[in-house]
Amino acid sequence: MSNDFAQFQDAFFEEAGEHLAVVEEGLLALEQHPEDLDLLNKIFRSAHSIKGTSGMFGFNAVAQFTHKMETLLDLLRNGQKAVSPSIADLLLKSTDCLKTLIESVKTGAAVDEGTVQQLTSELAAASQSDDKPSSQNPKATQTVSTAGSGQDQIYLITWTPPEWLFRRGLDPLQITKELCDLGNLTDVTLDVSRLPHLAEIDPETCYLSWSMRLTTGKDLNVIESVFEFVREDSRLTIEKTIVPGSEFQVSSTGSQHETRNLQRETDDGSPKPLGEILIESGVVSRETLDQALAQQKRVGQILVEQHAASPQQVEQALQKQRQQESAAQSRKTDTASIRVDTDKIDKLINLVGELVITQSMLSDLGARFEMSHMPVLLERMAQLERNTREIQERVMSIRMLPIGTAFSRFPRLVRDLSAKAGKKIQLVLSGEETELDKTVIESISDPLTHLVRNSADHGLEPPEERLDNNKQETGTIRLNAFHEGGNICITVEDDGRGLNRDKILAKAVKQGLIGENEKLSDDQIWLLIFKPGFSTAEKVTDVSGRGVGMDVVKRNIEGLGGTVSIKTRPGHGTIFILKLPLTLAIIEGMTVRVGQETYIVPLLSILESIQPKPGGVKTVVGKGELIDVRGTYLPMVRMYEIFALQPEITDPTKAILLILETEGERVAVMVDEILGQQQVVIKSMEQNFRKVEGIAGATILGDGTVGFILDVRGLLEIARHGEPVAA
Amino acid sequence: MAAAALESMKELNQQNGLATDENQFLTFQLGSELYGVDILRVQEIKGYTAVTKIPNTPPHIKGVLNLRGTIVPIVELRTKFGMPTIDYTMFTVIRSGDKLVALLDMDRLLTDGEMQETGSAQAA
Amino acid sequence: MSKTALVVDDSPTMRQMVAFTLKNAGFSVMEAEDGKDAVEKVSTGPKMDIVVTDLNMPRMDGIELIKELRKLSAFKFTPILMLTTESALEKKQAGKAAGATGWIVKPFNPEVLLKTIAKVMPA
Repeated sequence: MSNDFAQFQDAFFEEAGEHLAVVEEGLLALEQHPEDLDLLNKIFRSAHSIKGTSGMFGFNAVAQFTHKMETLLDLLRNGQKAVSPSIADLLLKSTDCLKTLIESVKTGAAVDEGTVQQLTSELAAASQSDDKPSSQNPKATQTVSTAGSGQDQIYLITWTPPEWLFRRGLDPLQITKELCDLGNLTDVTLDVSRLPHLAEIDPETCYLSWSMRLTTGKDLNVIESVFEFVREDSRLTIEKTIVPGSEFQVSSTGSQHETRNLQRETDDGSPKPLGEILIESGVVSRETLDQALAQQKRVGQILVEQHAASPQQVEQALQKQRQQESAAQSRKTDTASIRVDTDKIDKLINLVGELVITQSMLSDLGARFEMSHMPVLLERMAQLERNTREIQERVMSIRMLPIGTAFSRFPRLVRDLSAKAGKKIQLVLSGEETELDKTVIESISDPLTHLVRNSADHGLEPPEERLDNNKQETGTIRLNAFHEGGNICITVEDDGRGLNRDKILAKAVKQGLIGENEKLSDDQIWLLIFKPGFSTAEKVTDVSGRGVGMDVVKRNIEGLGGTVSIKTRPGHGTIFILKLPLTLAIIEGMTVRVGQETYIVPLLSILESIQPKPGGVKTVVGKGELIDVRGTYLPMVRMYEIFALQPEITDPTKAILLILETEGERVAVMVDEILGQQQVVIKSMEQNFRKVEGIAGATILGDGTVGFILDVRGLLEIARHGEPVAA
Repeated sequence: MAAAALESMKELNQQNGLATDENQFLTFQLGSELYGVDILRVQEIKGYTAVTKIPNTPPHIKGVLNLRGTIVPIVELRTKFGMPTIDYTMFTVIRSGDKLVALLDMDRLLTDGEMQETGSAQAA
Repeated sequence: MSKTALVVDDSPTMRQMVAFTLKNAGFSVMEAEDGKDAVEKVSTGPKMDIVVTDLNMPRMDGIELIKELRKLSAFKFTPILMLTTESALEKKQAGKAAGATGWIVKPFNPEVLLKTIAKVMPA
């Protein structure tokens, strides 16, 4: 129906996602403030938007289901029904269901029809029970019989429009024009009898009436539709005159008093499931229906029972189906779009305009340059720099979203977790407005979820234990985000029992992660929980504690160029601190020189730079070179050795050592010289080449040549295992 | 001999579904052998600029260059095949699959027709 | 000079679809994300040949917007179409009372939209 609109589907899915988040958040907040009308209105509007827009694309299942939700929400906001926990619960479940329905039209994934039907009838039931008529409009049936088309008929039309016709922007001429388009309009007579005396005329009032004769082959309802916007408020008669071959005289009258609705009232657009109809008509009881439904079998099972297929064959087919589903889903999720405020784009266009002006001024200057123009040149160069920086910031800001979009799923998650774990948990969010790159937000969503689950499951104690320890019965999980330097910090904090040093150590020894007598600092011990296969949960729950997750969290965060650290106090709680770059496209880097080559070291991994004192470097057999940094010995890596470069300096006491940290390990990397600090745009090496050990990516330096960005982790690997075999 | 090389090249390209009889080639000589690249695969020819070496890569990977913001690896076939190298004045950026690579070796560029002539001259 | 249209809808997707259809039909389109935004945007003076507005919107809904627009001399007789859903009949009545010229029932397709606009736009 609306092929032309199909190109807006992606925009719809994105928008629908936002509306779903609003609905879900709103419903959760509603549980705390059931009387909040603004909140209800907001939820209603989002549901309403999904309904209206999904209909535009012919997503009828979505539109119909949302319509059910909307009906109930409308009753709630009109005060015709009160928000109860069961209603809130039903609406939350329905939101989940709506999510899968939307996902299904997006990716073709299967939908659990049973759930949809179940919720549809529950929503209908909840909307009905204390039955005040929700709609004042009685259902009207269309009784106008349509005259046979094709053959010309003569209609006599008299029309007295409402006096305020003009004030609604309606134009009677427009209507006569439209009638002309339908056929032959003749005998148009204007009745001016109601015109008052000139002195009393209100020029905005319509005092006129018309009568006319229309000869057309069109149906009566087509003629009526010309008057669509005015007929309810007009005195209108359309009479078919007797024409040979026609037996009926159809008249259609509308007046302000008698309102006939052509609009079909569909409170309930979707057909009811058979079972529901049977229950309503009293044929069967709900119990009987539920029993019957429980006996329904899946196709696979029936085929197996009929020996048409073996269970293995069915299982294989099912597996294939699942694979195809997930393949279809991953294909669909590849295309990503971002919605940008038009203001942001307008500003950008202005800035580009300025850039063009600066550029033309510069080329003008260049065409007739003399040394005396030097100050002007410098001034314009400065302007160019300002333009460029501003454009860069603006362009980057297009990709920036508030982290609240990633936080928004947690109220629901924590609510469910607290119910499952039998703990009372309060979630406090702050810093939701902190902006960061869309890709970063998407990628931290899963790690954050795991950390929150971990806090709910392991961090917080059961209520009894908390009371025993003189703590409030309700545990608190705090999520906070804030800017720190060029980075963003996200903290996940609980006021639970804190990490247990001895338990972690015992477990790590048992798992063979560390030796029996290995001496570790507290910080090193905490980091053990990020080791693959480590889990201290005494009972395995379906929430966490499967021994997967924490290592994945760490890997994901580091994959984004970030770090994770832990602070914990026994009995008081634990804080996980994630430090992330604002964007993946640009990093703050330190440019260093080794021989003729320039490398960029990510600033995030640099702790300090030092010049060792003579005698500060020791060589230990089997461990290579170590450097004494204020009493601690760190492994030292000569960058020129790792990358086979020609250095200028080989004596560490004359060179510069960068102390780098990655995954809790520290290393001193020797370079010739530090050139400076700058933001660099990360370029992919893999796009046209492949991954190179020890290099995280490339960038274009100020002189147009390529510089490499150091991968600190990879550098350590090379240092440990020797040079990788060149491919 | 060169003409034969061209024929076999065309055949190869046809087998790979890359070329038709109508294709033109950029050709170059390595030692006594003549090689060609389908002209449609040639992205651009670029004057020699500074090269950044990639650490720990084989010697025939000469490094990378900045092609208007894209990082393109540079390959030298002479080194790869153990032939003596020469001084280069340009890069020939070629599309290979969805990747770009800059070849150093293509210093003498001949068109299809020119090469036919060379071929017959040599054959004569 | 091309005809001008003001499209008001809090749903960016709907707004884009309507704006897209109108632009293709040769209109210059001004978009607003709710009633308040629309009132602010027209307060700087642009005259519109037609207004297409959603009804359910935050800050200022479509009904209020129509009332506000009708108070402005520049919009006294401008055709205003409201986008409504089948089930929102009472809204339609309220819209008419506020001064809406007509309505388009969602879901609609581009032809219906353009036809309805042609119906109310003085040639």
